[in-house]
Amino acid sequence: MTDKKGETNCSTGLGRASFLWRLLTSVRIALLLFSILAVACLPGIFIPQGEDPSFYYHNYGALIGSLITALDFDKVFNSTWFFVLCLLLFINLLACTIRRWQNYYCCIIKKPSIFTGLHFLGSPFIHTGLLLVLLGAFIGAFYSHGHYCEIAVLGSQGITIGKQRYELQAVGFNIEYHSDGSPSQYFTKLKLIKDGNCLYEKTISVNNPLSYQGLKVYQFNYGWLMDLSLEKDGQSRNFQVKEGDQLALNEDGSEILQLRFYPDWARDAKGRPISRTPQPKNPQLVFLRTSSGLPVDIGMLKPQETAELGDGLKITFSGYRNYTGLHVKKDPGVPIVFTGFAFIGCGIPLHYLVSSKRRRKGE
Amino acid sequence: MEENLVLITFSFYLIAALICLIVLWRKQHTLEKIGIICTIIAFILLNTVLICRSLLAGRLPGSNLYEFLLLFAWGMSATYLFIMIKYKLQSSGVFILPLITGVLGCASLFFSRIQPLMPALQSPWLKFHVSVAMIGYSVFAVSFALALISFLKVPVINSHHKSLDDLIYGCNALGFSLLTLVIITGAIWAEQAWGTWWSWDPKETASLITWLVYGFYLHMRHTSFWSNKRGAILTCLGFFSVLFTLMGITLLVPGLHSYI
Repeated sequence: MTDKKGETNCSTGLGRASFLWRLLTSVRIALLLFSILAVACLPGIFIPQGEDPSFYYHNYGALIGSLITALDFDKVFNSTWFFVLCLLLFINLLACTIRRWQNYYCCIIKKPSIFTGLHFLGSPFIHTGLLLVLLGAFIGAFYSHGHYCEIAVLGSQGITIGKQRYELQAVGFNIEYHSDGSPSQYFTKLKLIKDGNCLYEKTISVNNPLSYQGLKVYQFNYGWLMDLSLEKDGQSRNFQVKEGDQLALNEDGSEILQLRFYPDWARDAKGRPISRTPQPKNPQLVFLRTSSGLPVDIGMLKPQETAELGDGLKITFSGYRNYTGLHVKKDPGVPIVFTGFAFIGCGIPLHYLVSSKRRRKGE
Repeated sequence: MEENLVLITFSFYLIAALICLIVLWRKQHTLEKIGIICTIIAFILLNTVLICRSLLAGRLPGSNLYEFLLLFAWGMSATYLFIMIKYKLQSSGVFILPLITGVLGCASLFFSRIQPLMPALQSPWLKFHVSVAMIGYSVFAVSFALALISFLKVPVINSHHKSLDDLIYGCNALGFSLLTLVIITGAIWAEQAWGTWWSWDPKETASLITWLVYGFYLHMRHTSFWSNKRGAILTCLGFFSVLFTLMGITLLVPGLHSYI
């Protein structure tokens, strides 16, 4: 990441530089790294990432599948070789950034003017910014902590981020809808608690996270939770089941209760159950009880209704409520990355606008 | 109504592109003027489509592939008209006008009615991210057209006596800066919406590859590897990468950006 002009500027000072320094600041090395990185990213686009090895054997055949897993093409961006490439780019960028600041210093000494000063700041700023972005990415890769949780509305959940233990309490949840019935935005009123003390309270939504001393809580998704009660032989058990989940009715798991919640139940033209809108205008729970994969019972319940199945099993649909899906994250690399963005954002206009102004002024 | 207007616009661009090809083969001033008039009419029609859609939606169009392709065609037309007026580079239309016609043709294939924005897209960053992407991609399209001209040695009239290579370099440098801003605004937005500024989503990765290709071009220009022909080849490669990022990823690879 240097140029020919950069190599000739301050040539007396750099003439004494070691071979390693010349190699590190070589634009040819930068070009080589650019091309290798561009090619290295390709498997990350075309090969599905993070799947089980059996997926690759099944979809690509034994030979190609084994090659994909052996070369870490199934996790390109988490592989050691990709990290080494990024590290090499970082070292090259670091050396070139130092050289650019040296060149800037030389230019200012030779021709001290406001335009020279500003114009020649552009390139060092852009390179420093890129360096900070890479540094922040490395820090984030090693020291960031993330956690996904689903909290029932009016419920709470404990989370551990790094060595800190927090409690998140969802004290409210609200969905706003467009005129066509699709959700326009969803909001969770959230409390961040530590050692029993409420540290922060905020209503978050998509694009509007809670931020407290580097810890961020993002609104990720939402869904439905169903409160169920199963009664057999006079014994009653209560369950909280997520929409689409299934419930094992016996210990070996051969008897299963599959559950589906329709907030606004209706039938389509072919008679299949659908939800007309995501709003709970006509909530219904459809259940299917299977034994060794074969259907035994099927039925539909409204809230507070009870159905009696075979073998004296009773199922009660006690109620439903929303859960809020939250993504909790602490990434110490983000402020460094954003500082890098600021450097690049300042460097680009300095590089182009000031140079065109200088041209107009005939400097 | 909107579909018909897009088709009429497409037809005008197609006529302008054909005229441009004929003029290249046999120089005729009257025909050349008709071609320019067709381009201007098509541009006005495209403006009408975009203004109407913006007014009806209450926002800048750019939340799905159809809307972005319309914007992309508009950006290419605006950049083409600008360089045609400033540098009198009418022959660049030989490649840029068929490209605009092709993009509008693709847009009509992906026509979609105005739909409300999903929660993740409701951000002030949407306008900035999409606008900068549209301008950046349009500048790359023009540099691609100029590269083809230099590659195929099409005769060029250039009032500013600026070499074609300098114009390509200028376009690529500007496009590269804009692409950098697109990636930065996208990263800031992603950090707010998804909690991660970079997630190696296929569209992000493809944008990075495009950025590396143009970065390679800009750095290579200052080395002994440089030749105008190699620069033109890299410019073409960069633009294929832009097209793949825009269309290929959306249509072939599922990811976080699948809506556009």
